[in-house]
Amino acid sequence: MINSYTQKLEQIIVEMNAAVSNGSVDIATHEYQRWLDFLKHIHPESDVLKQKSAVIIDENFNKKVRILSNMQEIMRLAEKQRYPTWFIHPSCGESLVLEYEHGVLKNDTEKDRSIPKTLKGFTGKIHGVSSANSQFIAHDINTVMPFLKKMEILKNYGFTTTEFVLFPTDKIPTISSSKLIASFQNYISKARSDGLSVDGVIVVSDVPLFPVDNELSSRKMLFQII
Amino acid sequence: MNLDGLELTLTPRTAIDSYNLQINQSTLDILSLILEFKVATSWQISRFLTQKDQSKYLYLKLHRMWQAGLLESFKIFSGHQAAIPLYYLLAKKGLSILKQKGIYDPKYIKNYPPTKALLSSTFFKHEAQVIELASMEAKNKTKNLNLTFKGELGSGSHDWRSDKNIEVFTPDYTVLYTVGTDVMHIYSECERTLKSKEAMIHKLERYVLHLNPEHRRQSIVRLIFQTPNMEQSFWLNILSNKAHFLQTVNVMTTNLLCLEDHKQFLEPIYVSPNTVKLTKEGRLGVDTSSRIKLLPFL
Repeated sequence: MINSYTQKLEQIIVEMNAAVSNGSVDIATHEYQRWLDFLKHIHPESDVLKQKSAVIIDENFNKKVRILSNMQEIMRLAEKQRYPTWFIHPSCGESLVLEYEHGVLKNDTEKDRSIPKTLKGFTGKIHGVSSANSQFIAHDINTVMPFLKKMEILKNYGFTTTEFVLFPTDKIPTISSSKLIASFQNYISKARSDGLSVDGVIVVSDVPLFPVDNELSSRKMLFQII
Repeated sequence: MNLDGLELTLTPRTAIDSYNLQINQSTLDILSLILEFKVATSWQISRFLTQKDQSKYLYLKLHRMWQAGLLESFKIFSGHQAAIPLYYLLAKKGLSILKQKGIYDPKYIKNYPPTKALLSSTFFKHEAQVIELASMEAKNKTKNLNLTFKGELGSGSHDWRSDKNIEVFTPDYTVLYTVGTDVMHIYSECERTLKSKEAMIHKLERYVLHLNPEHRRQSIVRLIFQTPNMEQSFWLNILSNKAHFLQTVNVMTTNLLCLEDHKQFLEPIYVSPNTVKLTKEGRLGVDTSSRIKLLPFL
């Protein structure tokens, strides 16, 4: 059922979508996402939600990742956010952004045959790394969606995706920081034994970890093993 | 350390050495530590100040402070020639220096226990265990994790309701865990002997009644029991009789079997109201097998 107030909300969201798409500084992408979530909650049948143009560009895409080397800081962050769902994947290789327009790759990638030249119907960017054997490993898309959804889409497109695991933040009260660091080191060692040049672990969150920043991602952090 | 055959005699000093001991910050730090914890060995002082078990500098410093009359010392003879620990306590001259420096409330200096009281067997056994535990914990201090210690003297509380300095609760020692801008007060009680149910309830009640409400979120009352059985008895008592206390004060417990090494203080060895479970196998009991860390970010 729709009422006049829901219609007003839909109109506001359409205007927000246009503003975000045009790179307006008045509203951040994650704030707009909250309005969409609210509309989904009160009127899931809304046509605004069904429109394909309601694609939200991820403002964190390809931003630098904040580097942390203090495990206690990460644990405090998890506690303050009431132990959210996080994922971790290795931080490695040379960063590369692939750009697709109407399904066609615009980058010159002659060397790497693992990169699909066409992705049916896709316009956007894909971030990944080039491993030591010149294989492209994808780990991000430039639209806002949960991390697991991104990995699923990338796999469906035929990309090799990064190896990732769930970070059990709810276990933090029962494990010391030294043991958690040891777990991360084991994870890195395994990645290195698979031939990757790893310098740390990237922690990915679907909700912002830090305030919005022009240079640094608000949803990722790099735990560097020194 | 077996303290059953305890003999406590002050080390005789023929005359105060004329050595011109410099009263520097190191001297004041040592005097303050011994004032707070009443008695201390050189290794315990070393743990607090350097996070190491041994320091030649501190060993010599303590000896010179004793020679200069700032400290008294005594050895523990427990029937064995090997491992005879040497303890230090404050002499009148050391107390006087602290009073002059104005570091402590003059009332505390005035009411400081006399040497005779400190040398009593019962008093000493308790104080020796307290400083051993506190100094072990002090070894966990790092550049990212700052630990600040206060003995029983410095842990005394200001009554927030009457705005008076009265002893409303007196933990054996207090540790401030500081990570970044977050500070947590850990009021530590060492339960060496089995107390009656009423006595334990009364102890916890003092925190419930007198801990400043604004301070509660940043504080934990930590009870360290001698044995697992004592720890379980505490939880059964509180859950059966005063469960509502646990909604007012953050309480966590552990026992000495979990604290064999200083690193264990940072491990998941603590029972909290969220982890303890009531059991009924014939009669009511508690399950304290699930344990967590003292603070989530450790």
